[in-house]
Amino acid sequence: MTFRTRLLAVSSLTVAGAVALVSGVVSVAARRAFDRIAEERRKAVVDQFQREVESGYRDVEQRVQRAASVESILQIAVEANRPQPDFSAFVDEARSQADAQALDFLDILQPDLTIISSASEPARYGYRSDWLIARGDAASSEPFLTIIPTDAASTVAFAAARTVSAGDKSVIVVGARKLDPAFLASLGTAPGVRPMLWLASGGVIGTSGPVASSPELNLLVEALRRTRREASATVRWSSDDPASAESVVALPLVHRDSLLGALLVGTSLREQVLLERNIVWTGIGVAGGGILLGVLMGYWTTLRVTRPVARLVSGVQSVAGGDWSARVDVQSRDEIGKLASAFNKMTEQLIEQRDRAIQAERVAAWRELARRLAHELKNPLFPLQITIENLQRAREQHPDEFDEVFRESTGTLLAELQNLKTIVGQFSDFAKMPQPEFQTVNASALVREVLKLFEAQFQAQSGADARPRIEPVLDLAESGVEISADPLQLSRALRNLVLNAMDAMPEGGTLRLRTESADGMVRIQVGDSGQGLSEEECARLFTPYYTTKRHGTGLGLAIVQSVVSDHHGRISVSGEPGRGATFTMELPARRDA
Amino acid sequence: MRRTLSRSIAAVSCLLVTVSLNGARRPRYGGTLRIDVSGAIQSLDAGDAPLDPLDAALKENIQREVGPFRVAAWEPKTVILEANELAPGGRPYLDRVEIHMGRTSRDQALDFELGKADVVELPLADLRRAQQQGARASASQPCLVIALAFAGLRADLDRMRQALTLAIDRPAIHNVLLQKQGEISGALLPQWLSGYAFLFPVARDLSKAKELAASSAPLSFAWDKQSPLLRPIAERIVVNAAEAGITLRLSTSPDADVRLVILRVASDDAAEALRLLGGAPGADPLKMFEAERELIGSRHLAPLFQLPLVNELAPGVNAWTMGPTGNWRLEDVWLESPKP
Repeated sequence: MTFRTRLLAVSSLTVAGAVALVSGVVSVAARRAFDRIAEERRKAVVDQFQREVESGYRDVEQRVQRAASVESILQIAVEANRPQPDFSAFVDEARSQADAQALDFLDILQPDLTIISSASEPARYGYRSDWLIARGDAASSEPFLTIIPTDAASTVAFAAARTVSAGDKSVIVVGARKLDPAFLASLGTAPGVRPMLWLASGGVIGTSGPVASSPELNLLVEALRRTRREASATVRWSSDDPASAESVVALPLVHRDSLLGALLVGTSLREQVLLERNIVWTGIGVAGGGILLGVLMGYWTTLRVTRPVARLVSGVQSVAGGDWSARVDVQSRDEIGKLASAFNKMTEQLIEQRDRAIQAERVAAWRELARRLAHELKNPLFPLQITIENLQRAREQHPDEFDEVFRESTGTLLAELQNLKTIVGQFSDFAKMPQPEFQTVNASALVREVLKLFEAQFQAQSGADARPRIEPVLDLAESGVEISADPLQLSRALRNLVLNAMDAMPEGGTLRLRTESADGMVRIQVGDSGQGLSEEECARLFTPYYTTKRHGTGLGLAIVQSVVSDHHGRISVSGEPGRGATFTMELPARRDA
Repeated sequence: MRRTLSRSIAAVSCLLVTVSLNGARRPRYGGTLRIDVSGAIQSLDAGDAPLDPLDAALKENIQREVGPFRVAAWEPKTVILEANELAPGGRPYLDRVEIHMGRTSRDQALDFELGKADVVELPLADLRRAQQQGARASASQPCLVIALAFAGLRADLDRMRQALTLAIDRPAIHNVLLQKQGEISGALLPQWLSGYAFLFPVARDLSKAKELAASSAPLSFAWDKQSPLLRPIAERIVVNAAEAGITLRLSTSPDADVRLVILRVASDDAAEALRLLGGAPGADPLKMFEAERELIGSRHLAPLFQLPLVNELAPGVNAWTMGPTGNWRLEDVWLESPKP
């Protein structure tokens, strides 16, 4: 991953994280605010409905009081005091009073709760009233809740009772207003608030009639049954529509430890849900926009920041590639600018030092060449000088032996001159290394051709006047060893390595030649089983004029290294004293091979 | 002898209820008598078939050519009678009689209060109140039979008929809902007509009713919802039946298991009345009793009450008389002239 990518990723993640954090904080804060508002609204609604319920009690109480105060009720009470009371004339009285007082139920009862007249069930005269929960209700001066059975279903009602006396006996007037859709509709409700009534006998009704139940409502009812205390829950009436959710508060309707039902106050969460949804989507939009903007800004910033760095990198790579003249053009005065200035200064110093080093190296090379030439030429010159001095001395002191001495001396002189010629030839070869002419070469085939040049020597070694035998062992790959090389130069390098190996085995041994392909490189190995090399010898072996041989010039392996380097390869040597040495050339394989 | 005696008693008693505030005044001719009725006149020539109460009430007044009135107009809601100038017994006092049909109890009460009707039907439940308030009312002998009619399809029909009959608290209904008008009866023919109606049992036996109705299936129960008379009685019967463990489910089907019906005793002759009700009258009271019991059994009836027909009269209506079976005698009716 590049520095620019990493910087862009870090900046983008930072912006995204910051935006997400802000969005999350805003969302949580908004939710808490909504919850607080909903709680305050719920309390207000609960208070209002508790007042409404209390008002309902008092309203019924007043209506029953008015119904019990009329003259006809007093006449019924008077009739009750007769020895043989006849209430038949009053059978419709309850209905009249119920109509007059707008009560849903009104019964006129004897003290034993026998119906004298019933507005809702006129046919039940003479039977006991069945909608007073306890006998004490009839004597209570306080309004109460009761369950009234009807033809359709039981209903909860606000009720009140009044006793009317006229003598020893009395009659009881009991009236009630049922909690039905009309009652719910009469409750003053704010927009979004929906009153409902849950009846313990079963079912939920609203202002428009029965209300379909829901799992959350059932759980709320169960909690209500257990605790008989105010409870609340969020009820989702439609699983498909989250906006159908309502915050429902259940106000239990209890009378004499009996849970008769509950007033359910549903506060629509539609606005809240929609608002929350808007906030979420707005947050997502803002966050997305912020992240996108952050990424773009990060990209722009990254470009601004990394462009000088990229120039620096390019300059460094140019320098690393050998172009020491590379310069970084950075105008800024910040750290990057200082770094670029330092880099430019450093390259200038490097060039100066390189020029000085080259100059010094040239001087050193000339010195070394002079030293080697002096050394190499001095050895043959000394025998030449001695031989010529012997010839002069033989001419002057032993003329009779001069011919024999002359013959021997001229042989020596020719041999030494040949030696000088060889030395001069090698130096000439080292100096004349031309540029390689590349072509596709099969490394294994090249090894075989080189080895053919030495077949005569291998066979001569096996004759009668044989020298110690050297056995060539080939391990050559048949494919994948094509390289781009100059076959003449590479052949020469291989010949040098084979000659070195043979020189390393004066007592005979095994010459191992191996080719293989690995990791995009073709490897050519030449190994011997000779006396081996020490670690120091391995390190210095490719230094020009360094040799371990008694008569070597030290240029053979230098030539090999020069050839391998010109082929963009590398050469190495491994070995241990007494265990032979192995030279390994690694050359780039042809890509289309 | 018995029949003659009973008819004489009826003739006398039917005149007792009419209350006249100023009977000494002389009758006058002219005027239009307006009568509101809840039912509808169907036909005045039914032959041997039992007539509708309203048809029977009018039949004698408009006999072809010889009756005191003739039909001048017969519209869906109104029948107009005109005086028959050539009536053998002389022209009636009234010029016209307008009979407005299909009027509900509330309509009739409003018409009466506003002076748009001279004669209206008076619900029995209101009779005592009306009399206490000084209203003028005219009642016939008990000639309407409130009865339960069972459909003959159920296997346990007779048992359920007996159970339901025993479960009904007839005195409570008679005293309260009927305001003690009419009489409790288990017979089709009223006591004043047959003389043996008391022989039909009417006592309530709730325990036996429960025993008979044990594990019985619900019965569908229907009545004429338009009848203000039947509704409270039916509701009370439902309550009584529930006490005995009998479930009556309200129905509007004419094929309900049980129907609360009103039967009309259309003749003041017992044998003729029984015949018109579908029975086969016998020659003597014992055979009449057997015939009536047979009729009740064969038609799966359970008579409950015998009720009179009652009319409320405007102050200007004079000489209004009803026969023992509720038929009108319009030829003697006259109207006081309106006060200036």
